Parts: sequence; C-alpha cells; structure tokens
Amino acid sequence: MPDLAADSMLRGSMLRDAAMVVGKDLRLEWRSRVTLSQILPFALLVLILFAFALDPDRRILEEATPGLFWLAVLFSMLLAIQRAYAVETADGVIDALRLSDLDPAGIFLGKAAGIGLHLLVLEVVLFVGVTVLYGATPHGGLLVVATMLLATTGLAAAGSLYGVLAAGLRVRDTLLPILMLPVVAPVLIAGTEAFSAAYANASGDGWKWCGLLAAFSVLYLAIGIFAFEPLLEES
Amino acid sequence: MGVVLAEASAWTYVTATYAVTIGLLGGYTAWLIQKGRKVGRQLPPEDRKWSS
Amino acid sequence: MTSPSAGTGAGIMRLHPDGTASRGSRILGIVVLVSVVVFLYVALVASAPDKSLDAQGQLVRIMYLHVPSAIACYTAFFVTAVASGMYLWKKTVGWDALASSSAEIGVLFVALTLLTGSIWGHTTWGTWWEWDPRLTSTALMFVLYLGYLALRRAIIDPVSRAKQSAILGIIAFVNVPIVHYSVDWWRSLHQTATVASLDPKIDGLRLFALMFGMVVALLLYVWLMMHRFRLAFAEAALEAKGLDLALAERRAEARADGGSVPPSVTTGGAS
Repeated sequence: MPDLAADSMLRGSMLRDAAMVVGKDLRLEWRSRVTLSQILPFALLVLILFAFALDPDRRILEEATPGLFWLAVLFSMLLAIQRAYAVETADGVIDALRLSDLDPAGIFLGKAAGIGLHLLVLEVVLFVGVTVLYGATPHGGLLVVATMLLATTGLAAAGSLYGVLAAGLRVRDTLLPILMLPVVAPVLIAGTEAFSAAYANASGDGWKWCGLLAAFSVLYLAIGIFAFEPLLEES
Repeated sequence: MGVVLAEASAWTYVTATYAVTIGLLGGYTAWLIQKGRKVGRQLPPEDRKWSS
Repeated sequence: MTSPSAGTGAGIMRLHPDGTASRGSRILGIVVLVSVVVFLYVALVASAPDKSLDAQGQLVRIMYLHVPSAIACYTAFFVTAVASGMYLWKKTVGWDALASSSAEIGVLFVALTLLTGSIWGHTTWGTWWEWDPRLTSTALMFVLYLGYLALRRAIIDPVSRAKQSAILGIIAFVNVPIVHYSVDWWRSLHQTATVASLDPKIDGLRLFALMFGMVVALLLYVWLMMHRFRLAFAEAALEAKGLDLALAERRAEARADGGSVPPSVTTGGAS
C-alpha cells in the first residue's frame, strides 16, 4: 500500500495544499473577524479574571505572570482549535474537506498554520496585557520570542490533530479540552519555566526548556502528518 | 517536614488503604462478572467461544 | 466464575453458563485468589513480625499496594498501545477489544495508584497532595486515559470508533514519557524541603512483599483482562447481531411494502 504521506511530500503538493488551506482560513477570519472579536476579548477577560482570583495588591500577579500568561494562551487555544474546524462544518460534518482533492497532510499543516498564526496574534496581545495589567517588566527578549514561536508550533500541531479528532463528534466542545490539556501540559510547564528564566534574567536555563518545546513541536508535526488522514476519513 | 504518626494510627491508615484497594478491585470484579453474564445471556451459545 | 465471596452456589470448577469464564480463567482465578491471600499474609503480618516497629515501618505496607498498582497500570497502557497498533494493521475486532479493555483496567489501576500514593503521602507529608513528580504525572496520565474512554463513548460506529481510538491509544502512550520527563524536570527545580521519596529503601522479606505484590498485580491484571476482553468481544458480537437484526427487519419491511429490496441493504459480514 503506497505511503501517501511520503509520496505527497515528495510531490510537493503537501505544502501547496497547506498554503491553500491556511490562505482560505485567514481570508475567512479577515471577513468574519471571529478571532479578533471573540477569542481575543476572551483572552483579555481571562487575564482580568486572574486578577480577581488573586490579590492584585500583593506582588503575586507579577510573580505568577509567566504561568498566567501561558494559561490564558491554553484556554484561548481551545477556542481557536474549535473555531478552526467549526468553519469547515455546517452541522458537524467535514465532508467538503474530506472529499476535496487536497493532500491530508497538507490539510493538517494548513490547519496547524492557521491555528498557530491566530495563537501568535493572541500571544502578542496577551504579552502586552500582562506587561500592563500585572506590571511584569519584560526581559530576555530573544528567549521570550523563541519560546512563543516554539510553544505555538507545538500547540498548533497538537491542536490541529486533536481538533480533527473531536471535530466530527457531537460532544466535541467537552471532549477537546480533556483530550488536549493533558497533552499540552508539558508546553505549559516549559513555556512558564522559559518565561520565568527570561524575566529573571537567567536565560541560560530557559533555552533548555525551549529545547523541550522544539522536540514537542517536531514530534507532533510528525505524528500529525501521518495520523491526520485516517482521522479525517473517520470524522 | 512530615508528620510522624503514632503506631496505632499508622495501622489505621494501612488497614484503610488495604480496605479501599480490595473494595475497588472487588467491586470492579463483581461488576465485570455480572455484566459478562448479562451480555452472555443475550448471545446464542455459538458466539461464546471460550466456555468449554 | 466468581471468587467464593460472591458465589451463589457455583462450584469451584462449575462455570456459569452465561458468563465469561472458562477452564483457563477459572484456574487462573484460583491462582490469583491464593496469591492474594499469601500476599496479604506476607504484607500485613510476616514481613515485619517484630512488634516494636515504628510508624515508618508500618507505613511501608502501603507501598506494597502503591508500587504494584503502578506497575499494573503501565503494563495495561502499554498493552493498549500495542493492541491499538495491531488493530490499525490487522483491522480485526479482537485487537480493538483488547485495546479498550486494557485501557479501562489501566484507568482502574491508575486510580488505585493515586489513592494509595496520596494516603501514603498524607502519612508522611501531613497533606493529601504535595505535587510529587511521579504522582503528578500519574494524575495527568489518569485524565489522559479518561479522555480515551470518553472518546470511545462518543463514537457510535464500531469501525470508526476502533480506528480513531486506536490512533489515540498510541498517541496517548507516546505522551506518557513526555509528561513524565517534563514534570520530573519541573519539580526538580522547585523542590524545597526534603520531601520524603515514594521509594523507600527496603530489603529482605519486605522487598519480597513488594516484588510478590507486583506479581499478584500482574496476575490480577491478566485475569481481569480475560473477562473484560470477552465482555468487549461479546458486546461487539451483540452489536453486530443487533445491526443484522435491524437490517433483516428493514428488508422484511421493504418486501412487505411490495417494493424491491435495494442491493445495498444486505447483511454485512459480522466483523
């Protein structure tokens, strides 16, 4: 049986199809502005809720900024993933995507790229948010940027994969969180530790956590490229 | 630092743990056996290839 | 096939006609029961006959439950991963039944691992939870496989369910070492005071109790698997029969209406 994933990678249609998918999703977002008008406010709301939950007069918000930042990212990520696949369905069926001639690995990468780009925008805004709201002075710029890029790649890859798994199910809204959050717990840990190192001007340790993030991203990109097709068929 | 308990209450924890463990495992076993019989009752005998 | 405590007149070797027992599982069951009794004796009595034991000496008995539960759950999830891979390759219902059964029993053992670990922790740390790296990653693993079971419940079509949960079964197991490594590294940076480790140094009869506990746990896992697998297999057969029945009724309806039966409405081969 031909290894379709490997074949398409060689033929180059995977990347071409990925570009097509992400282009479509970005155009859709530009027209509907759902991420901008709904997910972004949600992310900021989470930051505000954290302040209600923790005492804003003590330094706890500032000290917990790395963790709170990545928590807000994770919660927003769930919405972003649901949205990425909701755009494909009218009533929970992803037929159009499945029946199209697009290479499944390309669809996976395209979806992941879309989710990743949305997450990056959210992260930039959240970063400004925690700097302003929590009074955390940012340091170690390069480490912060690298962490954001690597973590986002991992989150987007895992999200694209688990997203298609949950997308075809009626219970997708409650199932996706419990599938995804244990899986991305290492990203939360690594992202928080890297940010903490950056903020404490001890970047050395932070780069090791970036290594973990890089490994996680590579792993999930690889898994996704091969596992997406059978999952798409069944959704 | 941890709390070092008196010997008497240590034994209480031990027995409680063993009781919980046996209870959980025993409960699951009971459910499993009963469910197996219930489903088996609905199947014609030829589908049950394991009983001798 | 029941343990004598739940017996209702069924003899030692008399198998219930409707149940999932067989000669093999009955014999194994008796072996398990005897081993459990021996284990309880060794763990609770023989391993520390010296009456002047301190609290720490008594509390290690909880380890005889905690470590074996952990061994059993890792074994169970490993079997799920392998069976999932085999299903994706062979596509037979047996491998899917194996994978799902092992996951369910694995979740049971994870719950036990967490409970025993937490109780042991309470006796030593004074709190019910201390974010010990191993317990924390075990807690994550618990939720991970609860997700696997939830996914199975969410998909109705048996083939689709088998395929998707097989992929999840493999990915979930791949996640286990990643989670362990990250949590371990994370906690190693933040460990403050000396938190008593969950790995007591023991030897002699106490080490034997621990080892024997592991053997008993694995035997129990196998016995539970035999029954759980047969249950899953039987439920799959029942499902297929139900489908056949529905299709047969549909065909009968179509004939009764005087129309021709469309060729697509045929009895699908039971998997």
